[in-house]
Amino acid sequence: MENYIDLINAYLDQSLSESEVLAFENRLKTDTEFNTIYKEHLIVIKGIERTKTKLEINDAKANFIRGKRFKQVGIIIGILIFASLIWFLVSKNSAKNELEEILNFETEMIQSFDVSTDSIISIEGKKGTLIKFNPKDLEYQSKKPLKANNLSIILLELTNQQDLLLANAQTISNGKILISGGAFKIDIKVGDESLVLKKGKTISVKFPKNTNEDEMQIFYGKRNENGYLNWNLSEVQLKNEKHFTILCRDSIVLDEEITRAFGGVETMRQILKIDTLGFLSKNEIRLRFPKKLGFNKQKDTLVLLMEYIDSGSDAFDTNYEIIDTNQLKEIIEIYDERNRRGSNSSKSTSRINENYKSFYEAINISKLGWINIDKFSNEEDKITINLKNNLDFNLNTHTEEAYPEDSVWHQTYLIDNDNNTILNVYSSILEIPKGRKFTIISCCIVDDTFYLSRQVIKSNKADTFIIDYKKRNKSQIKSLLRLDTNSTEEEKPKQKRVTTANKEVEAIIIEKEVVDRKVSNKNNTISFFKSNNKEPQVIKVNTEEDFKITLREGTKISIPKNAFVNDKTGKEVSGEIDIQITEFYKLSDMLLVDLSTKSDDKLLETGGMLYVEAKKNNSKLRLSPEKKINIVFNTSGKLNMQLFTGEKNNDGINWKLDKQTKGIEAKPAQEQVDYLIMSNEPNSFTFQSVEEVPIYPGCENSSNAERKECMKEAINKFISRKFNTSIADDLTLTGKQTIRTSFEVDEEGNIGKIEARASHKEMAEEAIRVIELFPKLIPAKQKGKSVAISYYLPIVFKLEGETLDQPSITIKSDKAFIKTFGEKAISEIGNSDIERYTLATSNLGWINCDRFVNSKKKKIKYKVKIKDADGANVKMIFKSISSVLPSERINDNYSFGDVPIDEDIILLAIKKNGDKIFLGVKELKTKVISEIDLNFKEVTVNELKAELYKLNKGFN
Amino acid sequence: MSDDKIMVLFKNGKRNKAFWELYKLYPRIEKLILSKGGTKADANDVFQESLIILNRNLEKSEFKLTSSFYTYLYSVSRFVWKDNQKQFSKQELHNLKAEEVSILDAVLEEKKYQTAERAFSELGERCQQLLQRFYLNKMSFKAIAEVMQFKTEKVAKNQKYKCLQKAKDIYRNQFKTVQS
Repeated sequence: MENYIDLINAYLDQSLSESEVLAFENRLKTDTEFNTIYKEHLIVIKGIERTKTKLEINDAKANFIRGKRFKQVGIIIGILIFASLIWFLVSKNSAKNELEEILNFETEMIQSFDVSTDSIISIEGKKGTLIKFNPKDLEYQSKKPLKANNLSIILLELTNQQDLLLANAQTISNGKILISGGAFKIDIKVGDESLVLKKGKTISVKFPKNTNEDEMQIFYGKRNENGYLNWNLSEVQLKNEKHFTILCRDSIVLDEEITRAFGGVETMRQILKIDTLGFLSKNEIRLRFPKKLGFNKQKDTLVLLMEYIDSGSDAFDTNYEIIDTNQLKEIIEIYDERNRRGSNSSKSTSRINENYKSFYEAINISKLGWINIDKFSNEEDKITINLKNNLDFNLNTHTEEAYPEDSVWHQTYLIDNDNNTILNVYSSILEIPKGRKFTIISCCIVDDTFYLSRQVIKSNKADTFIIDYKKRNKSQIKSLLRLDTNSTEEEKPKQKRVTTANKEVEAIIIEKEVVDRKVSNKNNTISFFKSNNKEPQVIKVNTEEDFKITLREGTKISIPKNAFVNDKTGKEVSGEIDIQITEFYKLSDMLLVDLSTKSDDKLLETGGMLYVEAKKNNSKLRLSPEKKINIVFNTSGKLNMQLFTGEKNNDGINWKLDKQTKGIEAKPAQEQVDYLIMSNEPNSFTFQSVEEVPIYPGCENSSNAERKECMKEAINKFISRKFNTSIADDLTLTGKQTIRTSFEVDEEGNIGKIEARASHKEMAEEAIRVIELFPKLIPAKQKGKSVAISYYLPIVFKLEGETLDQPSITIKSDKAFIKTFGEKAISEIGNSDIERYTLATSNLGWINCDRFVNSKKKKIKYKVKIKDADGANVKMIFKSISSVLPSERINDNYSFGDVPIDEDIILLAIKKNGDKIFLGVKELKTKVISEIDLNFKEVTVNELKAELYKLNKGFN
Repeated sequence: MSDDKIMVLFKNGKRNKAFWELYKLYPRIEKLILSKGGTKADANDVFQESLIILNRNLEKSEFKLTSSFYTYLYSVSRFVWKDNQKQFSKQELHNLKAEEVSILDAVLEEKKYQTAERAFSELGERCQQLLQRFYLNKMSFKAIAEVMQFKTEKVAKNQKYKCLQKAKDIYRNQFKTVQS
């Protein structure tokens, strides 16, 4: 046995010779006993080997576990070191923290909402911010999925300077100053853990619009270690919301038919309940409002106001408003209107006043936290000012490095008095925009004493200002941080506020006030009108493409590509430009900016005015000489309108007929190519189709056919005799010229509704002039009854030379208007005649779609002395036509030039005395009078506007 | 560390390092065993057994690892655990796939070595040391005699023979009881 083992060992050690190995392996095959011994031996050896492997494994395991422990211990040690570091810093910064805590009222403004995660969440902040999101789009910062059942949403709405100040939210983006339209903070939390949005997911937020500043952008913000916010521009586009507003949360559609059948017992056809508050998407609207309500008009979002109550009362949920489809539509339109123009005082709309808010379009944001609606402040001249303080410490504190030894932690704000801009100050040398007024508020804690300073500075030149700290009680802070939020609206005396400022500053301010007063005394009313400028609509246009847009009040504008050149250099501009357009269709709008309708000494009737300005990067543009802008005024029922361009100065505006204008085209005519199809509502009978044609004087033949021929001939003769062919010569026309005309012979045999289409305006006008001279006819008859007919009349000339293809224009006469002026028949024409004017202009600036008023009435020189006029701006408004006349003033005598006699007019006077506005209105007829008392009464700006809106009704 | 790198470690004889790397897979194997009703100690044993089997197979020239270490260790652990629990049904054994059959073979083979190891561990300490020195450390009888203070080489050799025979006897007995 022992030998076997030696042999096996030798075999396994491979120390046997080749022949011995062969012999060994042979024996394994033949000798079963030997084989068994060998196998057993192997197994036992492997068993022994296992002990070694096990040792190795255990070693490795021990190492592995040790490594893991070490890591854990390492982390714990790391945390401890970190914590102690923070503790160290915190204790060092205790003064800073105390001050920050005292000054930051952020927590007081926080609104918290607790919501469940089982559905889409939609919340509204106190100031109107609407947030909508799906909880499924959220996750923990560690990317773990959200499993909680409840969320809390933390919302901070800083919509004005005061809020920004109290929350220590400065408005700066990497050194560039911003003008804020509101800063917001949105945090969504589970317990204390903040959630983030999953990649690619967004939440929908609708921010209230708190500013009239345009071109606001979205910025995301971050506080640095010193608590200063910095904002970074995002790519999110912000647009003003276009929406319709429904007043009530629930609408009931009254079934009028059944109601009538039941003798007035109101019967509902449909009850619409809107139980989701907030803003709805197009599809949601469609679902909630079935077709019957005709909501196909809505554009992007529809705001559903949750309350429909008088302010002060809160019982609204049982108080359904009963409205039918049309009313609902009407209300929607009213509110759409209101949204454009601000407050109104009509009866049905006043109820909503308090609840109405203006919004930006809902946007999708991908980051939670600080969000700001801002725009960069314009590039301005800057000056450097130096700040010192009466406590003599170093104001250079919060640099990236350690604080200078002699510094004290202070919190200093620089607040722009005219813009919504707040900056943190942490350096004694500041660069600020020139020529503005700033409030500096600064606080610090020195030796446990709290100091505060507040003063107003004006940045006229580089200067040194001394921050004059005074001891204060900490509890007073909030009141000391109170800003006069009205300060941006009007320059008010700020004497009181200056009390804490030093003498130097005081002197500057008083000086400023004196200047203000002088200016305001001189031009009180002018400044009033200037301050009331209607907010223009700004349109971004890419100059490389033709562009068409319909403005808010219906004006359509089309701009060809590459139409603009720089006003100064004359070079063509490319890329995106801003076009600012203000529409004036309403009397109130015109009055508020001191517009009138007068061309030299002639009275105009307006079909709407526009003010157009084009800019690229704040440099003014004008139209390139070959290019024209097409404008379709939203005016109907007024014929023969022409284009006027205006020049505005302090005494009002004067309009001049635009000579370059190609003329006036009735819009539908543009599309007609060959045969004249009238834009007038065609009469059901024509000269060809009517049973008995009209009878031209001298054509009283027996048969209808003869009368027809006779009339044609007579008309041709008449035209060839009366038509002034020298016009064609003046225009150097050649070849065959065709003027296609049409007119109506009405039931009484009068000629009216004349239209002419020709290659030149002058030719068309001449044709109309001639047709207007036609004698009165015996009217056409159908079945024995007098009827109106249409008559189509081509007028053909053959001149020497080539016939050229020329574009033609259509001119319409308005004989009826001339005839009936003074009899207030305008509205009748307006209804039958839905026309809009396409005008092409090559000038920007003030543009007016007007016509001269050709009244056949006697005219008088209208001059009147107005009691207590005090330099008031007085205008004459014609009740029957859309005309406003300005006056010339000599002391208290106001002269309006020549005006038709016996016209119903309104005299409207606005004067400003100090801060007070006075309004005087009187309705009267134009007669020779000497003196009049307009009973001036004091009004607020809003009351004034409301009074002016009232006048809109009779003016169209 | 990638499987390839671990394989290199094995090839270079750096088993200690390789095992250390493979231990990173342990938590997942532990989960498996715990889910099957085992304890942490069971999991530890199972994983150790799997590593031994892996190691043994790697030493075989004909063995090729066709899957990742994790997959292999997972399967082995599963079989080891099942075998320990004697949970194999006939049906199950019948339906095994080829790779599974080879794993089961390895597990069953290893059981013999386990028994041998247990037999070995029943020897006296001196016997164990002697055998380990001779078989594992490949020491000569001369060196062993010096270290273990045997009078002569011959005495050491004789002593080793006796120890081995004893181990074999114990193994044979244990194996019989296991078989029966």
